[in-house]
Amino acid sequence: METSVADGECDQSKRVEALVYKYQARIRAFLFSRTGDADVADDLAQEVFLVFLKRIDKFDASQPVWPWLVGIARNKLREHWRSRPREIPTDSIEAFIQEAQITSEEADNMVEAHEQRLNALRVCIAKLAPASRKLLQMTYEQRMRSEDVAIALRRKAGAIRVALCRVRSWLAGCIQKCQEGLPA
Amino acid sequence: MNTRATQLTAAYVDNTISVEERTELLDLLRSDRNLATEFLGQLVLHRELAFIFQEDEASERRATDRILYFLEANRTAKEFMGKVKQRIHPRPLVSDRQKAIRSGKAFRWMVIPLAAAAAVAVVFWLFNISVQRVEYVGDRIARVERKIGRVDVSGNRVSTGSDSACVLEYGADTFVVLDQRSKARLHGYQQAASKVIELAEGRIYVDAARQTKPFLVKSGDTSVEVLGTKLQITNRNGLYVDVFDGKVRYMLGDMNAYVGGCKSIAPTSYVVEDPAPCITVKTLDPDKQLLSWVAGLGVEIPNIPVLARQRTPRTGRSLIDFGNYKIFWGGVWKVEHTEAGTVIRQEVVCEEAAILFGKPKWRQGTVEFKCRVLKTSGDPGIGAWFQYSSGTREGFAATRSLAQALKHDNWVAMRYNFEITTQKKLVIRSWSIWPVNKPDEIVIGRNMMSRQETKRTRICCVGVGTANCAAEISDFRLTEAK
Repeated sequence: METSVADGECDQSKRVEALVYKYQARIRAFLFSRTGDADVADDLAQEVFLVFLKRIDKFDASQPVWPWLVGIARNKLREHWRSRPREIPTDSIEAFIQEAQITSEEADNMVEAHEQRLNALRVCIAKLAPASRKLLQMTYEQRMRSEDVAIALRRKAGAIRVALCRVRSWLAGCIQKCQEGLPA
Repeated sequence: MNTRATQLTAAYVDNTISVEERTELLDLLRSDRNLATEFLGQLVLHRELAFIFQEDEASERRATDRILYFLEANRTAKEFMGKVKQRIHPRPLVSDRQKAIRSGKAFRWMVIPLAAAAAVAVVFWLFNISVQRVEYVGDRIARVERKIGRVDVSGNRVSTGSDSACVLEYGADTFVVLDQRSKARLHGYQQAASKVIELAEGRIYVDAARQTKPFLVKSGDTSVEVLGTKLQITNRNGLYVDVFDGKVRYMLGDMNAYVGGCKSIAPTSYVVEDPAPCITVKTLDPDKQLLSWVAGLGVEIPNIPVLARQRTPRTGRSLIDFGNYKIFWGGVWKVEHTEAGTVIRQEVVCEEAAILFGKPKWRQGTVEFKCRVLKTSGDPGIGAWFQYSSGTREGFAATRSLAQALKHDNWVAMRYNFEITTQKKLVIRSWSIWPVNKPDEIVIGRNMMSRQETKRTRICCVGVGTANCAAEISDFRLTEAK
């Protein structure tokens, strides 16, 4: 009897580990895209899984896990944003972004589509022209500053920033088309 | 989005926006709803790209471990505190009483005290709680001031089971809290020249005033000398020391390091390929659950400083991942994140010590840093170190030119321009060393080749190393990297 209990606990912990391993990156990506702060995203992700485990007995195993997790993440984000206004000057771009994000999150019922969005983003990156993809790699993978990228590509830093902005705009359009099932 | 709006958005996302431009952008965003939507889209996409490009298997594994550790810490702390509350404080929680007041049902006022009294009686009977009863460990070495569940005292050994814990009074102004599933041995204090606690397994919390005699906590081949402090030592799958306040001396073999408040020492899990003994001190993880097990026993922990959250630079400005490092050939390394940047310290004099950051991914670049020698034995050397993805490492320490530069200033700046050739040979194309206060006194060298004939690959990570000295390194950065 004792063995079976111990085995049960072991199975449970393995299941939790597998679940965390499977979903943590997507949850962190979602939280990071909303907060822009990796540390905050990590902290909130921990809270999300904690809440999930607390309420696991209410979870219908026949249902997919992701919408449930992302729902908790949304609530955690709201709690985080509501606790933050004291830290940010009201007359700043950050306050404006936060306010806009709270409004859009509350109006947005398609947060569940975040996973598809990331997949679409990967597809769209693959479709980029080599020069644009190189620009993204230098900026995001190699974490080069725009000044350094400019030196490497023999262009002006301002031009690099604007080029990046245009690549992102193209990607945004491509993601939208992918999600609508249209050719990018 | 017009050209100006694009420029401003690009500058904001790149974090190169000026104060005037911020005001201009804010005005534009407030006046144009479409622009605001597009701006937010750019921002979210920028963050998603940063995330996608930075994720790899190792970082995913680390993130998973961090979350699992958090979940486990939360579970064990909750379980333990639940038991403690049940047994030591069986009165209803304040929030429950407040709910009863709000409900306006007066009869609950009668029920609560009666239920509480009954619960206390039952719990005392069931679990044999001893709050007042005094037991002595050994020949009055220590006093069991408080305990939950069954605590075994045999000679100078104290052990707790899976549902028991205790608070020991160990000489003047010293309290030791022993967690569940712990075994400790306390050595004579009054008669002996020192206080010694041997922690065979489990977790203890020590709150000790400044000591007149040496006070050591030993676990395996590690000793921690308590120098007036509050600390937690955990011996479960490796030894963890968390110092909350004051200072301790951590001794491992013939090495030792002084560790101050808000710092922790964890098993050297980053040392994957070369398990040479080394001590790595990190900023304490500000996890509130760290001491909840102690608070659950009714032990007050005053004056614990608010722990600063360790910030690993993820701004996209640094190519060095200071949060992920490997240490080779020993030494006592500290990587501290300060307002002014990340400071790397190697605190003991040893023949060779090196620290390497991040995973190997560079073919060429420029490594720059400032350094100063703290202590020496013989001719000190400091320089850039490299490790290939094959695991081979090599360093290029400056000795003569360092001594020359040190004549002018304590702080010396170094720059190495490296490249791995198509023959997988690392070449230092140029290197320069100069005293920070006299940039003209520069020593320049060219085309220094790697000496080793070991297995190399075409990518490497970078770091810094010391020889025959203890040193402090600041402003460590990698530029022009490919």
